[in-house]
Amino acid sequence: MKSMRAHSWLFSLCLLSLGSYGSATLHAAVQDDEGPSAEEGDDQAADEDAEESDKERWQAIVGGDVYTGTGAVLKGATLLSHNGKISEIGYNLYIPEAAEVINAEGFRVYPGLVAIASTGLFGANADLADSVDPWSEEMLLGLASGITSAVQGDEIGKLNRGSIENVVVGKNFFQTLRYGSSSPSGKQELREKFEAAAKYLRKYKAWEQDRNKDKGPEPKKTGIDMGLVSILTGERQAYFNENQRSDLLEIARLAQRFGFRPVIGGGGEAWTVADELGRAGATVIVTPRNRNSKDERLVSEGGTTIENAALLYQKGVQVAIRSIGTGNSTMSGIAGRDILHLPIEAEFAIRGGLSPQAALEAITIVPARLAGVSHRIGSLEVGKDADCIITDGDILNYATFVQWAVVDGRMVYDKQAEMYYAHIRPRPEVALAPEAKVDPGEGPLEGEKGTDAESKEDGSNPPAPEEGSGDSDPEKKDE
Amino acid sequence: MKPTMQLAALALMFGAWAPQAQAQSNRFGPLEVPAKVNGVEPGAQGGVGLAILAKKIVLAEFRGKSVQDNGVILIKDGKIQKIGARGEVTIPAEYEVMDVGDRWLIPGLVEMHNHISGRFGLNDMVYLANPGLRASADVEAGNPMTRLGLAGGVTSVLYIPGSGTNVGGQGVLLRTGFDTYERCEIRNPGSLKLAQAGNPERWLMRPGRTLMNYNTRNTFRRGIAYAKTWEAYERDGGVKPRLNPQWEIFRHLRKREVHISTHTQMYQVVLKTITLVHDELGLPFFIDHGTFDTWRLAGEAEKREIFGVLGPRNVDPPSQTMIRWAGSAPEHMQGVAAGYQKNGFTRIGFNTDSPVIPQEELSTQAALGIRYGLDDKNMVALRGLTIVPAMAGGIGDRVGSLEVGKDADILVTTGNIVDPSQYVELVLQLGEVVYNPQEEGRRW
Amino acid sequence: MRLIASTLTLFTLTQITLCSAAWAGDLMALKATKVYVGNGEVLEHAVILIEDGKIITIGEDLPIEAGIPVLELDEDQVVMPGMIDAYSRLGSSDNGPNGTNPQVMAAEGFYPNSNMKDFLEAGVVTVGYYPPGRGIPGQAAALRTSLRDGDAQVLKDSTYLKVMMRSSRSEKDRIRSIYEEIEKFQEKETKNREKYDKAKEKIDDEKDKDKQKEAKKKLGDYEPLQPDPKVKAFMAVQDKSLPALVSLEQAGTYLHFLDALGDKPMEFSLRIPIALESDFGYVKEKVGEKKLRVVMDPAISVNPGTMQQRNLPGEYVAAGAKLVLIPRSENRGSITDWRQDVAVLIRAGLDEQVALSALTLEPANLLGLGETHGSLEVGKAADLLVLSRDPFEVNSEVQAVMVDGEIVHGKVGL
Repeated sequence: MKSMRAHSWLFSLCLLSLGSYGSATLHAAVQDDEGPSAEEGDDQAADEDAEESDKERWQAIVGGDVYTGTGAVLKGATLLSHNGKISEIGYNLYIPEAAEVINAEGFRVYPGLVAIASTGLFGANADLADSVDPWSEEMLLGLASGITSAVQGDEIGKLNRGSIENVVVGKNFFQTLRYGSSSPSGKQELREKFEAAAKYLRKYKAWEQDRNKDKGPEPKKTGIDMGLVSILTGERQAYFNENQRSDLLEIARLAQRFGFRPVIGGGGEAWTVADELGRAGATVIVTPRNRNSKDERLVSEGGTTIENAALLYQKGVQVAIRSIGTGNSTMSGIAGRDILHLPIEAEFAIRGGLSPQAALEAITIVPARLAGVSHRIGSLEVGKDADCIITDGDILNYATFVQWAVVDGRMVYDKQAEMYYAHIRPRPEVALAPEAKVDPGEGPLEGEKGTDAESKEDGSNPPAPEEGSGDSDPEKKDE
Repeated sequence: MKPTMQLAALALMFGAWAPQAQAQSNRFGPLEVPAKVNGVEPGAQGGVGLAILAKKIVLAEFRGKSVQDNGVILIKDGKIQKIGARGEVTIPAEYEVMDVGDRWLIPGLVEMHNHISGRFGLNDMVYLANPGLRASADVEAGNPMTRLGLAGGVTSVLYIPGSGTNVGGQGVLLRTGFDTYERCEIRNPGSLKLAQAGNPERWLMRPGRTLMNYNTRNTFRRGIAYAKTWEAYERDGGVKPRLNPQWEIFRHLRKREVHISTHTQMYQVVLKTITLVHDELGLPFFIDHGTFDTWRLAGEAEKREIFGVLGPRNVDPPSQTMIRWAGSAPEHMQGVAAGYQKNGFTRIGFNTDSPVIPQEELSTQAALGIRYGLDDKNMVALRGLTIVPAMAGGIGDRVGSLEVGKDADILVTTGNIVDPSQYVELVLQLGEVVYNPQEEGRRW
Repeated sequence: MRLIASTLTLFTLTQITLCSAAWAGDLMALKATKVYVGNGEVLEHAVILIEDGKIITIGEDLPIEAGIPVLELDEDQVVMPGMIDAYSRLGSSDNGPNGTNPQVMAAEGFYPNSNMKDFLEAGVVTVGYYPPGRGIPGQAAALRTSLRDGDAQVLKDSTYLKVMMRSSRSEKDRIRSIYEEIEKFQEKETKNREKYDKAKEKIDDEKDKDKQKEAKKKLGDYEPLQPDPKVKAFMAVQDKSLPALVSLEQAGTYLHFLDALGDKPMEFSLRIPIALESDFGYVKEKVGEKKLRVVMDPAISVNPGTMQQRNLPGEYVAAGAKLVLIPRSENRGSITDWRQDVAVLIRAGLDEQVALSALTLEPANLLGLGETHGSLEVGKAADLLVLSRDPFEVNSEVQAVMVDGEIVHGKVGL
């Protein structure tokens, strides 16, 4: 008995010690679970970040007023991108230490502009992926104007300065058709071809859905214009280049008859048939400053008007804006009329009554939609490409300059680092020092700027943005 | 509702009665323009007076006041009678009143380099010097391009011959708001057109710069000699000299009644113009391009109080092409107007060289000046569209600013017209309404 | 008597200095106050012993055995290795077919032309002579600029494959076609082999021993397919026995070239033209990292739109690249002024010895002659120049040119 008791005593002692050891371990474990101590946590985070920086790319644009392009504006927010895609837009974001940080306090962040028509911005002719000159001066000037993507020929590409990767975003999105009074027989022909294409498509769809084992062969494609079929299936957009009222009316009717949404370039007199175009679901690529007199032989309204874009928009027509010249003519000394002044062209649409939001969309998301790449570019939304511009004011104001341009989460243009515009209203030095970064794990409280407060007190801040909405303030640049 | 009324309502709804373009025009609501009184517009010649109340009246005095906030301007018989603050100016009882609310009043814009007031059939390219040729013979008052310029706010222009030859002829100063020549003429001769650099050297036989300068000196000397014979006659009597229309203009030039509008640009060429025309021959001229790298010379022009009406180029760009052609390129995108300002120049004006830049975009030239570095303190940009070009052309005593005694050439705008998003809602010229988009159905 | 005669002969022999007479094959010594070796070394009071056209000894203040004829240069005369222009048409036109012709050999059908004399007299002893045309025009040869018995001397038939790269789909496809052609050929070869094997199998199955023997005899051994000359050349590129010299148009072209090449094997150097406004500064790090050899013009360029000067050859050297320089153009004046043009780069910061190597040893390396030519080292060819002053001084003239131990131009001594 005695031995047993001794044994059991020993045993329980063991158990106890085991238990206490166990609970000690447990306790320690629990303590760990309570969260890493400051030091440990930092080391861990640092290791993770070191790993990340080898294969991961982060960029944070901090403190700017983010105009997403969808209508939403986040003031003083942060835009975080990961490997070239927008991962978050908001406040109090965790920013990895390896991230490239752009301090955009006092500036605005917009989606990179999309030029629906351009020439020369890529330093190449066709096949952009294989012939782009990633260091062409034209590309740099395009970025300086706020353009991060542009349509050239039948491709839409990114101004990915310094790299030949990821240049082409989309191809073959337009099917150009001629349907104007200049070739009346051509119109007849086109209608017949459309009929044939529609018929073929109906047959094809029926055949496709036929579950019968001994259904006939696939409907023949001979004589069918497959370009028109692609328009009917929605794969490509029908693109017309017409200006006259009667032609535009005909296009609208053609589109409604065959059920597609036409894209119209030129569209000088489109405002006179805005309702019809609206019903047809048309998009008009407007050049607001185009000036043509009405044909005086005709009774009905005609000629161009500065109010073209506004009137179209009112009637539900989607509006895109292109510049007067598609190439760079600024280098010959005349500014304001070429691709480098696309935002000023949009400002003229506002002169004509178009809302600033619609004007912004006309040079961002609408061209992206037309090119079929709006899932990637055209607005600042999570999951889309991190293509944006950081400006010192309303992009639709004539005096605003692009301070930085970002493509695929990489800074590709810095106004102060390039010779062209650095001397014009130079950006004041704002500390981009490490201490300005957000400390991981210790984000600033709501409203508090944390360590950013130091740079503010320097007095070396960029000028604060004008109060007000996206409207261009007439008194902005006055005494 | 009765059927007819229903129809009327429907008609109203679909805007059958009003031009479609009207839809957007009214940022501030409709602008009520006073009706004629006794068949004459208030403010115009022979009519009752007109008082305009506005949130901001841009005076654009050359060296004086820029604006009058919450002001009132009194106009009668086509002239400005009084300008002041709302509380301080009494509006005479018989005056009609137009309250434009938050809109601005701006002096009508003045263009000193215009080629669209006529058919330009008179761009003589035969005689290297033809100082007697008058552009006034070619004017088409109220032509569509001029109307469009008017819609852009341009109320006075200097219509000049081209620069294919050295001395192409005489320009004429015109109003843009009327459709007869007689009502449009402000002053004829408006200017003597001198072209140096770029075009005349390529004339016919390719004289080159040396022969062109030689020809300028030669021609001007002959003209001055002619003028001197007349001055001697007027002073001392004696034999009356024979009138020679070819040289008459030099008498006006010597009296400084008329200036030489000079197409001149690039440093070396403008330096030559300054030393030859101003220093050596003592004739009044203004720079009517002054682009490329002329801005480097602005100090010299300022010393001599020479006016610079700049354009149509807005920048002096960095490029090897420009280095080879114009002789120097700044190593950045140099704004032309900004360069002048940087070098202390205080007489900055803007032009379009219409149709090189469409006439209606004169105000945009000022916007681009600001964009490329012009500091718009003291409304330098607006002055560059109004009083500066007016003074350059020698009509600064009549137009270019809103001051007592001057012509009532007034724009009613939605804001600062330099900003491309603002536009003109009404134009008065000599007190008459010459542009009202609400009636015309089309605006710029 | 005989003693006097032999002494006299010996004396005469030791006193005779060489004129234009050839002494090839014999032993001789060269004494010079200053010798630029070409690999960075500079020797003072140097002695070079030459036998059978090769350098057998070189050093400072070496005693010369009695009986060896000595060529003693003047005090201010300087010796440097004979220059090599590794990328040349010897003054003839660059125009030629545009296509993929890697099998074309520039040496074939080469006839001596009158320009060669200009090259030789300017001090250029060897050129890398490339075939004309665009695309892949063919393989360059190493030629002497001096003639032997009126005939051209080909040092090496195949030195590098010239590739003219541009930023375009067609040129990128051309690069890809190198490996695609090889693959195609290999597929053909495999099929052919399979065919043979099948036939052999069939024979093995044959029961009749006589028939089998006959059939075997008829079939014979397997004869592998021979690649056509084009594919053969491509294979040489793939196994790196034939290096390529890829000429670029602009910085972006390099990126396109790398993209087209992918991970395929190729040994290459780059021909980088230096125009007034050049953007090649953008890829200097990428090129330097790989320690590539670059062929450049001795010219200062400017940043586009400015007058800010850049010494791109110097920058490339600083970034790690190996520099080969060529004359600014192929006209007579540029060939004669080659060293003066290079001097401009030196004044702009390029190291003098690097510049000298860029005219001698590095081009020799590019042509695959680095073991036997390009510098004054033991075992190498006795190709050297006698200059009136230091190579990069103003008015430094070529007074004599020695090729393979033979004075082929100019005079030295009395």
